[in-house]
Amino acid sequence: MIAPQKGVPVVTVDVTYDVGSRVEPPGKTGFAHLFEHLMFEGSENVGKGEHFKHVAEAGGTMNGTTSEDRTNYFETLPAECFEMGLFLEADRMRALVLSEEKLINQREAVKEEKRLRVDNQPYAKSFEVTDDLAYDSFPYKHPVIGSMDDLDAASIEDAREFYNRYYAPGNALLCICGELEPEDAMTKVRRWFDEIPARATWQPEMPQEPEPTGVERRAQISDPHAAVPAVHVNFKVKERRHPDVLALTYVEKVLCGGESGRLWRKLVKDEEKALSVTVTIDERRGPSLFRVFALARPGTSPELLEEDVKAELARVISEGPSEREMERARRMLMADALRTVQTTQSVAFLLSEYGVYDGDPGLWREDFERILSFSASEVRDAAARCFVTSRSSVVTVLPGTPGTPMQEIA
Amino acid sequence: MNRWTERGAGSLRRPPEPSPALPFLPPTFTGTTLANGLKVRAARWGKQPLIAGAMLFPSAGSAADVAGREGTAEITADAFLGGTRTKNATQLAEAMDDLAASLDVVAGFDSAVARLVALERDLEEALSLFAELLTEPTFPDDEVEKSRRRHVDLLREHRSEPDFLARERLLDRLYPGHPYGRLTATEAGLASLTRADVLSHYTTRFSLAGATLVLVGACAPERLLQAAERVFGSLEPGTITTNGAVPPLPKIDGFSVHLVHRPGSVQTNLLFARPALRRNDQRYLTALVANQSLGGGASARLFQVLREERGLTYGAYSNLTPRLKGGHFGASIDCRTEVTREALTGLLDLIRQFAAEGPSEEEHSRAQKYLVGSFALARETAGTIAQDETNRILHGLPEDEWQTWRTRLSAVTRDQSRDAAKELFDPSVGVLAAVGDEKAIRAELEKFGETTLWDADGPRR
Repeated sequence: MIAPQKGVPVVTVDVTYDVGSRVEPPGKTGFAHLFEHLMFEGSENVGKGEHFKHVAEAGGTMNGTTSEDRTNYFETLPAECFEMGLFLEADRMRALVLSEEKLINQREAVKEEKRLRVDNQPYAKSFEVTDDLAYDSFPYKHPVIGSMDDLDAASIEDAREFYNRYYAPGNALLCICGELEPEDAMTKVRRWFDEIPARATWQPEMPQEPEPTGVERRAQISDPHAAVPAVHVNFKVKERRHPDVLALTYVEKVLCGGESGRLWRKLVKDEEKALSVTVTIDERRGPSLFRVFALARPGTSPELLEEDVKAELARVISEGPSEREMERARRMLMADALRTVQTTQSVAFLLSEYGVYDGDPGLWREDFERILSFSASEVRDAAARCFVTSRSSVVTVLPGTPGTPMQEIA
Repeated sequence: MNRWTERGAGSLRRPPEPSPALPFLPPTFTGTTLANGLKVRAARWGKQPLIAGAMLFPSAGSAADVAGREGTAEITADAFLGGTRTKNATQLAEAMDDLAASLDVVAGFDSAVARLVALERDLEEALSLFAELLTEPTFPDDEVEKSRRRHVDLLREHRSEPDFLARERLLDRLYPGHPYGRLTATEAGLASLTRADVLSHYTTRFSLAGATLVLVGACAPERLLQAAERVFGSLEPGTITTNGAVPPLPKIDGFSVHLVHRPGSVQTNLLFARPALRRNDQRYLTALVANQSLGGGASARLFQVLREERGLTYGAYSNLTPRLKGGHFGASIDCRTEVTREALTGLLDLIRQFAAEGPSEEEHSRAQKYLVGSFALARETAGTIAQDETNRILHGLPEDEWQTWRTRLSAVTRDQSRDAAKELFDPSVGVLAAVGDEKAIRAELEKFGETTLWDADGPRR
């Protein structure tokens, strides 16, 4: 996929593999992300440590990210050096060099990453609890970073098998975006990728997430790192690109967009009940999560925040957004989209995700147009379908005693 | 025939040579000074119909906070959103969001910057709102109070984050008693701060006559200048106050260790820093190249040795923080509690060795190529170009600072880089802040030097 974009002489090379933490079976959690680390440890023509050095010498930046649904690798380079990205990506797609020593080394780095980002941070663990609570089947129930035990159990045989199966050319999408000539870029792509032998690749049978039924799910945890109470109010909604999920974009803006968002103004600014409140749509290929997360001010309980959040959601269902809010949200979406297309990297990410998930990168534009066309009543109706008790899960976080382990209270 | 498997022939076995370098020059700015003294600088950049604006108020940073009122700059910046002469806080928020424009004021140490991002089609309307926000704020008592209370509570929350604790203690000990030593507003300052302090800070430090407005967009600079003239031209200049009040930097002797006890920490967060240099120091560029070799990223020495070879950490980096009156060189590593001594020894040894010997030829060349090449990567958006310009002005750098940047980087020699490292990176002088569980790491840290104990909210009592 080649996406010329004139402007600053910069090119992003992105390879997205159709593999994320959702393919991990019980006992193998964290493996997709651990494997992402191994992809930087050298391939047939790139020695250990050389990946970083080649990119730096080309004046570029690089990284990889693993989500539940996919893993991507990217280099953003001065336009004249973008072929370096092709060389590195082709070499590791064709002939990654794995070893026990590398596995041990990167396992320690990943465990340190887990300590840094999750185990030693306030509230981080509570996000893991939200997923465990909201989802019934394993793929989305467990965290991308995995568990220490599973990381410790990961073997070099696991890594070899994972590579052969999921890192085959047929399971990957290459996207090049930036200041380039398409024909020249295609010639270079062919030079590096054409002769990588095909390998058999297949996706696992994924357990289906059942449609939610029954009562609201609740959990309460005591977090020894947290200084103030907090609450997550989440709704398990349809998969990404579903019209209801697209319509929720407006709810996100109405509640927390800009300075005037209803929840932000009410809880943080006017009534001083929350230190912060965020609304995000955690879009996934399976069911997505509409997330509200708020940190309480002294004197406010998480239960009170929860009531306020739910009251605002109920108001969206009963009244819908006003016309002024709809117009404001459309303009914000337009500005967001322009910001996204400012950089080659964010364009490459966007196109790659649509390419891998839907087989058609152009669909993002279709979705965007569709979102812009929604009316207030359509948003209200979507909200009514999404914000129902059976889809709801609430996690409250109370500050625990420092030095004691995290506890699930109920 | 498969060229991949054909041994030896291997055109595909070696990394490709780059094509000839494409020219990359950041834009030159066109400027004018309005009758009220406001300087306006404009440039064309980007392909998207977005405007990025930044108004630099050079003397409005936290370095200007009055003793006993620490946090004034921070609260003032926040309280701009409290309302204007014609709009209360909610109406102001709605007006901003109707335009999908983001407007805010951020207080740094040496300056405050008001920022604007808006759709190009709303240029004049957004600029008018920007002007209203900056020249007609009312700072209502209840809004100032709300902001003050929120910052008190935020501070409490931040103190649960290990990174915050480490940075707070590091700066406090590196610049003891100096405004540069305050990461944020303090409880004491916030407790006594009132609307009168905010008003006084505003009236003396936010004059248009002392400010520079920078506008960048994908349109003719003349259009941006004309819009600025129409919106700001007839406004009152205000009073200029210079930033003469910033006291000289305190001198640091020897090496000291400061342990912030965070019960139950499963990691030790280690930050080292020592005095280095201000931004307009002649050696800055050279020091930047040296820093890149030592700890500027995944290809640099700290990361390669401490993570890739030894698996002690998720990341180890070094950095330069240059400010107006001085600055520091710093390095960081996070590690599991059990290997605290090993990681810290590793970090300090690598810095010491680098300060003594400088980079290898390979490291130096790589650092230089990285900094030259990546300059363009960071400049894809109008916002970064506007930020470059405000930085240039704040630090009194030449007009062609960014046009000559890559050429000057390329001219730095390995010997210069080594000399800069020798002068500026030696870790025998400096401050080490460690955040972790005292029980597990205190004895280990004491091996490195005299260790002072702290709790999250201050000195151990």
